[in-house]
Amino acid sequence: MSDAAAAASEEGQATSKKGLKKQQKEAEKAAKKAEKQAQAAAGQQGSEEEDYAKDHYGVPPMIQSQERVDRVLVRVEELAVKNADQKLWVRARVHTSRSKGKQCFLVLRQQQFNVQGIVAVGQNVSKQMVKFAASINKESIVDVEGFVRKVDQKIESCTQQDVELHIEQIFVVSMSDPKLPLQLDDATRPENDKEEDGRATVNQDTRLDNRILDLRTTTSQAIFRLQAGVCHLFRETLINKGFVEIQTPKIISAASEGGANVFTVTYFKTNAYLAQSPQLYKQMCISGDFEKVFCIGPVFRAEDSNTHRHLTEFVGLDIEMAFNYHYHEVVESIGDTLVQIFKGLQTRYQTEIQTVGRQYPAEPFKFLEPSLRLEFPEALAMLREAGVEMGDEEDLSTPNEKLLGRLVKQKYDTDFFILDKYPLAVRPFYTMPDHRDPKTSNSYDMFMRGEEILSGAQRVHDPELLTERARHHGIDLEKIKAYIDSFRYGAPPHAGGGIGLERVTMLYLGLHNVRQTSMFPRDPKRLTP
Amino acid sequence: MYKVKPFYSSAPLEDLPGCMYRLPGVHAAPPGVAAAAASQGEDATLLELEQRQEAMLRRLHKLRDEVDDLARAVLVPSGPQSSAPAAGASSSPQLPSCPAHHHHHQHVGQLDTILGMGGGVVHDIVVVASPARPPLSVIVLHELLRHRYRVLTAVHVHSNVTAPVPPALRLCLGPPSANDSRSDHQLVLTIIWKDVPRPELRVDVTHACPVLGEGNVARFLWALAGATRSDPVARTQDDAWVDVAMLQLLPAGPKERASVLKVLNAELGRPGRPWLGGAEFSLADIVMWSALAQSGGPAAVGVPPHVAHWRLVCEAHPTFQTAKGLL
Repeated sequence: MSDAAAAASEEGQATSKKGLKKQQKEAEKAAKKAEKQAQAAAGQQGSEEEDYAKDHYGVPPMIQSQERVDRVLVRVEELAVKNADQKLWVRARVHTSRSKGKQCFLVLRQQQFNVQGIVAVGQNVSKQMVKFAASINKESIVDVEGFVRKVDQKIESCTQQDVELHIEQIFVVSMSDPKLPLQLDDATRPENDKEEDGRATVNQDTRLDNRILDLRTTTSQAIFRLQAGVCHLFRETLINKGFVEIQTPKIISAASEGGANVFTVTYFKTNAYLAQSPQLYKQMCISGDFEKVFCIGPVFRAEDSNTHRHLTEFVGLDIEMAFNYHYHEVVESIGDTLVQIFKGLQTRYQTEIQTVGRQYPAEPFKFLEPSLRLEFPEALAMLREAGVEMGDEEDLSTPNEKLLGRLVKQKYDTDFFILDKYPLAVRPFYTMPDHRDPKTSNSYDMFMRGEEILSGAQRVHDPELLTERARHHGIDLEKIKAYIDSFRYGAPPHAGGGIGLERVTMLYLGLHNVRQTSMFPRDPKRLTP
Repeated sequence: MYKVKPFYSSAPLEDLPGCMYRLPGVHAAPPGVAAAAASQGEDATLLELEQRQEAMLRRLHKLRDEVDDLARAVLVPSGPQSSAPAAGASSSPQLPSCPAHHHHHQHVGQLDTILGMGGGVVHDIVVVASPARPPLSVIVLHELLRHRYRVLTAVHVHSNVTAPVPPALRLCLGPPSANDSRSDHQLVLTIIWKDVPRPELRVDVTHACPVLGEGNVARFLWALAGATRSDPVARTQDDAWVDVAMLQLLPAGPKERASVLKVLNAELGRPGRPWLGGAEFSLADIVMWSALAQSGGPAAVGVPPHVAHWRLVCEAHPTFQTAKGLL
C-alpha cells in the first residue's frame, strides 16, 4: 500500500489539495497498520514464549491404532471422594464448556454420569490452554488428566456431586461438528419445566431423526438399559423354570394369522412373507417334544395404525408350554415370570428407574404376587357398574380396557392383572373353547396400567376340532393345511402367549409413547434411521 | 278591544288510559285467592282422587313383592324355602352340623342384596391388611362364611411389602382348592398383604367407599355370614364389646391392657356366660379374641382366670382352628 502511495505521489506531483490530503491520510493509515502488525507480532512472540503448557493440550493425530498406550482411563461414575487427590486419566464427552477469565469450567459426561472439570491458569496450565479448552466443541470426545479434588459445596448439576477434576492435560480425541441439530440439555428437560421457563424441549420427530444424539441423553441410556434388563430377566427366569430358547424363521411361506397385515418380500421367483408372530413354529416345537419353549425375536405387523403403542416392527418375547391337565398351569407360569421380571427390575434397576423418573415422572409400578386373575364376567360387571354398556360377547375396546385398569387399581391397588375366560366369538380360530360353556374360551389377556400386553390361550391341539373351528370362522382350509397337519402325529395340550418388549418397558416406566422405548422405531411413516 | 272567551280550560286534562287492551290473567291467581276460591267445591273430589291413587299404589307394591317372592322361589333350584330370619324368634347362630350344598343356594339372593351389586356374577371381597398385624377375626369369619356360601380364597402379597412374608400367612385361608374357577363360586375372599396402617375392606369401588378398621371389617363379614342376632339389645351389647376390643384393648399399653382385662374378667365371671355375648357365640367373642391375641404378650401371661378360661373355650371352637395356627 505504501509503495502504491509513493508511486502515485511521484507521478501526480501537481495534484490538488484534496489529492495531497488523501495521500496524507493513506500514509497515516499505512503507518498505523504497520505499527499494529509490529505490535501483534511482538505480542504473539510474547505469548508463544509464555505458553509453557503447549504439550499439555491440543488435537493429537487421529487414533489409527498407532501404538498401545499403557494408560488406565477411569470411568466417570467411579470418581468419588475415595479418589481425592489422585491424578487420573478420564475419557468423556464435553457436555458444556464455559470460560470465565482465567478459568474454564467443563462438564464431562460419560453415559449416565457427569462430573465438573476446571481448567485454571496455574503452574502447569497456561492462558492459551484455558482458551483452547473453552473453544472445544460440545460433544467432542476428550482425554483429560487431572487431580480429583473434594468440594465443600455439593455440585448439584452433576451426578458426581462430591468431587471435581482439576485438569492438567486435555486432548481432543474426536472433534464434533460445532452445529448440533439438537441440544442434549433440551432433550433431557422435563415437559413441565418448559412451560414455566419458556425454554425449549425437543419434540419427538426431531429426536427420532437425530437418534444418535438423543440416545446419548441420560434418560435414553437409562430406558434402554432397563429394556435390556427386561430381556435378561425374561431369559433368566424362563431358563430357571426349565424352558428352552428357540429361534424361529421370520421369512415364511404363508401368513400365520389373518393375512391382511403381512409384509411381502420377493423370494427369488416367488413371494414370501415376514412373520407376524412365531406362533406356528412355537407350536411345532411343542409337537416336536420340547415341552417348554420361548423365543425372543422381531415381529413384523403391517398395520397402518399410527397410535402411541403400535410399531410395524418390534421385539416379541413369546412363550409356549405343554401342560398336564389344566391351562391354568401355563397362566400361573406366565404370570409368575412377569412378576419375577417386575421384582428384578425393582431391585436391580432402581437407578435407571429414578433417572427416567426425573424427566418423565410416573407412579411406581405396583403388582401382586401371585398375580391377580379376574374372569371376563366379573370385569363386565365392574364396567357395567361404572356405567359402560357392553354386550356379553363383546370384546373390550381400548377406552374400556383403560377404565377397567383404573377400576382394578382402585379395588386391588395393582397395575398388573390377568383377565381370563374371554368369550369365544372374539378370539382367533385356534383358541380352545371352554368345555362347559361353548360361548367361552380358555383364553386370557394380561394388562399393565390398563393396556393389554399379552394375548394368549389354550391352543386347539386336535386336528378335527381345529378344522371345524377354522370352517366356522370361514378360513380357507387350503392355506392352513400345513398348520393343521402339524397336529396329526400326537400333539400335547399346550398354551402360551407373547409380549412386546417395547410395550412392556413403556408401561413399566409409565411413559406415553412406544417410540421412546424403541431404539430405531419403525412405523408406517418412519423407515430411517 | 275585543275580549275573547277562553277556548281552553285551565282544568287539568282528563286521565288518558295507558292500556290499549286489557285481557283477563291466564296465570293462576295467588294461592290464597285460588284456594279460597276453588277449595270450596273441589276439596272433596281432590281428596277422593288422592285416596284412590294411593290405594292403587299400595296394591301395586303388594303385587311387586309377591312377584319378587315368586321369582326367588323359582330361581332357587332345591332346598327348603327360608327367607330372612323370622322377626321375633331369635335365629340361632349355632353352626349347622354339616354344611350341605343346598344351604348355599338359598343365601345367594341375600348376598346380592347385601352387597348391592348385580346378580349372576361372583362377588369379590378384598381385604387389605398389614402382614405385621394380621386381622385374626377375618380368618375366623372366613370359616363362618364357608359354611354359608361357596367361597373361593385368594391370598396375594403387594409389591410394596419389602420384608418376606411367612408362608403361614400365605396359606392363612387354607390350601388352594382344586377348583379355581371363579365363576363356580358365589363369593371370593381375597386377602392382600400390604403395608397399610389398618385393615380395609373393599367390595364395590364405583358406588361404595372402603370399610376401614378391623372392627368394621368384622362387622361387615359377620352380617354377610347372616349370623346377626335378632335381639337388638344383644346386638348393641355385641357392638359395644367390639368397640372395647378395637379401641381400648388393641392399641393399649400394658397398664391399660390390664384394666381392660379386669373388666373382661368381671364380665366373664358372671354366671351363665360361657361366651362374652351371653349364652351364645357371637361377633364380640371373635373380635375380642383377635384383639387379645394381637395386643401382644405371650399366651397366658398376665391374663385373669375367667379370661383365660374363655380364651381356651374360644380356641376349642371349630372356626378358630386356622386362626389359632397363625399365633
